[in-house]
Amino acid sequence: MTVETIPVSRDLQSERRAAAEAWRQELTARGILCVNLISSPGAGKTSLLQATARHWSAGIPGSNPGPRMAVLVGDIATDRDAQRLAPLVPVRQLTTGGACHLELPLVKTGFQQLTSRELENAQFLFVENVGNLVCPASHDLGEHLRVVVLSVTEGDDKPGKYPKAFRTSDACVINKIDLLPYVPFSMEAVTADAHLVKGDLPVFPVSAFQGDGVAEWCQFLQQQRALRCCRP
Amino acid sequence: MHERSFVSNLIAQVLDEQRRRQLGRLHGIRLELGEFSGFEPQLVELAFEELAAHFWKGPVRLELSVVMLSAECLNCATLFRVESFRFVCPACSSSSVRITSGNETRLVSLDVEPIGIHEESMS
Repeated sequence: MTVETIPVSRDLQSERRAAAEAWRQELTARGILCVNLISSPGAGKTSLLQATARHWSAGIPGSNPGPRMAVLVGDIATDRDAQRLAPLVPVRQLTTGGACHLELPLVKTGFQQLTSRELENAQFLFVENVGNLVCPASHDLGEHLRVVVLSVTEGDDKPGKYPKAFRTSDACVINKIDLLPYVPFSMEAVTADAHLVKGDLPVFPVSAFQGDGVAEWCQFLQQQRALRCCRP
Repeated sequence: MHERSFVSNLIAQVLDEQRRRQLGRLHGIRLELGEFSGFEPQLVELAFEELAAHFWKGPVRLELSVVMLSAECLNCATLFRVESFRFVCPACSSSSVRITSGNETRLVSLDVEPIGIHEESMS
């Protein structure tokens, strides 16, 4: 039996990449900066979003209105993160039913569930990925910024161990710095390790719990929005 | 373990090629996977073994080649292999580098039986 070889040369990710790019452009046109937060479970993604929302006082009636944000939170099960954020910001829970990361179609479905009132004048869309430093690094969700969150209790050796997560990120938040006196974690070591993977990765030391560094983090986000999807 | 979703996508695209090009029975798939693609060759092979049987009757061989992670220094233009995921130029120590290969997920070619008179008359 003869078998012939048919050359194909097809990039298997090109369709997904194009879909993510189209989505990014759609959000840009609406003036919304999309931030994909990745981390291991328990690093404090939700706490960082709570701190961000409080800093901007988004959605709190009667307060001085800061930038408006909406959140999509991914988890394998439960809507616990959405419940934590619901008093502060418009939020929808994305439940993956076992999948270890979010993919674009689920994100779009979640976004479409936000009402036009919830999205009125929205400037930021945060997508909180499933807690996992491996798989989310390989999936473009149409975000403008990918931000990796690492907490000091996880150890300062993580950038080299999860290089793709750090290489593909646009910024790194080191969370729980209020615990630095109690754990063997060196800010210098983690920064040096992260910079071996990505030389120009901005690093933000934050305590989402106590509020340190939150203002700098929020300022960075606003600068990035001005750069990447400028609309007043 | 996101290799299952990668393999589902691979199979969908192979089926699409088979349909569009009206190819005969499939025997083999050649795939290039970058070292930095985020997909683990062994897990891709396992997922393929498990899923392929649902789509093709006969055995289909997956031939996988790994593409090395390489980069170009944006400071001194040195091309180098990135080892131990250290994105630092070995010549000038600059960390301003651009990946030149290692992210690939490329369907290279398909091994198929030429369509015989029998199959043609059936279509």
